[in-house]
Amino acid sequence: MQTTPSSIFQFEPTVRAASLPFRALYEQHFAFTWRTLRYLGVPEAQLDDAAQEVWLVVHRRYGEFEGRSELKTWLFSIAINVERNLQRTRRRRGQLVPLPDDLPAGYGDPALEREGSEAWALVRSFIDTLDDTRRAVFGAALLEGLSAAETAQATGLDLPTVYHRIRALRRSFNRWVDSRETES
Amino acid sequence: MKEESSPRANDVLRRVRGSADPRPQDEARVLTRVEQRLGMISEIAAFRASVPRRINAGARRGTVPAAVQAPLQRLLGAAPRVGLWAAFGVNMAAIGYGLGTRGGRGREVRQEVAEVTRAPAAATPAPFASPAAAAPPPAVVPVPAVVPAPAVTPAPAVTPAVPAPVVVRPPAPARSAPLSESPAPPAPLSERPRSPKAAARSAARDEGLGSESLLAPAAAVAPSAAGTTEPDSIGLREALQLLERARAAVRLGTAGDALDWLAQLERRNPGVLLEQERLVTRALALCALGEVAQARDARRQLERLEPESIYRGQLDASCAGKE
Repeated sequence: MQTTPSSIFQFEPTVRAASLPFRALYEQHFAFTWRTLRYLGVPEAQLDDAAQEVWLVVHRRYGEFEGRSELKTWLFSIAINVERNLQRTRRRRGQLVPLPDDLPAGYGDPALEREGSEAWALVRSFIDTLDDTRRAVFGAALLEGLSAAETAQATGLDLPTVYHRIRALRRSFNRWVDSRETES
Repeated sequence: MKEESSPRANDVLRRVRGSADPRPQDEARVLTRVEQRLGMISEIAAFRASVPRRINAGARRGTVPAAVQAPLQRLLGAAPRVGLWAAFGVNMAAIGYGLGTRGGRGREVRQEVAEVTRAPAAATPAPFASPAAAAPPPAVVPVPAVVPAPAVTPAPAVTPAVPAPVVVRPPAPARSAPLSESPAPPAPLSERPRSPKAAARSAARDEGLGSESLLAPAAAVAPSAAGTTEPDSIGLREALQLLERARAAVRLGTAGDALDWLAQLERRNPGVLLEQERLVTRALALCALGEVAQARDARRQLERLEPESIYRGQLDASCAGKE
């Protein structure tokens, strides 16, 4: 991204364990946080807001990041918290956000985009059936490809539970996909 | 893990992974908004850093009475508390705007509102809750416990040098000519007619009397003998809230609202504190409305008030910049 450094980032936190400046971190990991928020079930209409929240937290807490966990798991856990807060807010305020569940208009091959949209609709319908923890495990392990140990760190679950959940989720998702294929 | 996804399920997951990335414009848009929100925090930090210096300057000019200066310094030196106040002010600005707005921007601000309502209870970090946390650790040592508002002494005791009649507007001792005496530039509030009460309060401000009301909660301010304190006068916290509402309105492109907030602030807190901020916000709002002449007038007032104002750069970049 060709953006000039902003004076705002004079407040850049002192980076201790983390070696990247904030902006470089953003450029490298924004896509990861965006995908994560979607996988966690944040409505498309709230993705922008959720991503802002995540990066404000990152900006504030990056200096405290000690490198005891992978950066990705740290970002994932922030995204989980932000999503939970948004969910709580929605529940409390009774706001029903319209959910355009298809992927946003992309920038690649239209056929691939359509395929992606269909696949996402399928996945979305599946993750909507999951509770928060299982959704996080599904997003981290099956969609984002984090290892079981990383998933455990990101979600705060212990490792055996994560293994168990991943196995169960694979089985459920296989059945879900098969059932949808049969329907169509 | 022995159990694998079925080929069909794997295919679905692969296609989702391949198409879930954000677009470049998503990345740029979110970055811009994050910067804007961090900018609000940095503005507060800049304001906080500038306050002690301006109090000293006010004391030199005689606009902040010496009896008031020390407690004021102590109050505003309590960085974390002021930071929270300021954050509260910013968030209240968002609330105020969110309640009165509509359309897409309203939704954005209502998100902020949701954050505010949730922030104290949230177990997870509330991103917008604490600007003090976003800024580097302040060098200022927090002042313990509550900083009491200084005992408000009757006006004549605080400013013995100033003869007291309020309705008559004497020449301000340290400032250059009051607006009403300035022939050429229009007064900043000329488009909004002032009530006699407001005029009286304005006169009180020029005498340096208004500063007391900034230090004490509104209820604690004893009506002075001269009758300068209005029932609706407000303290620093509320003044900050109003100011932040005005600034938020400027940022959100509703400059008319910003002028309304400023007028309300002027009416309810005719003090010298935040005067630079009021002038800068007014100038920016007027610029947004295309009122270049009035914006430049506000700039000139700021220069008269504080030639070395930290906000000069901000105004230089606006329509009120050097002619």
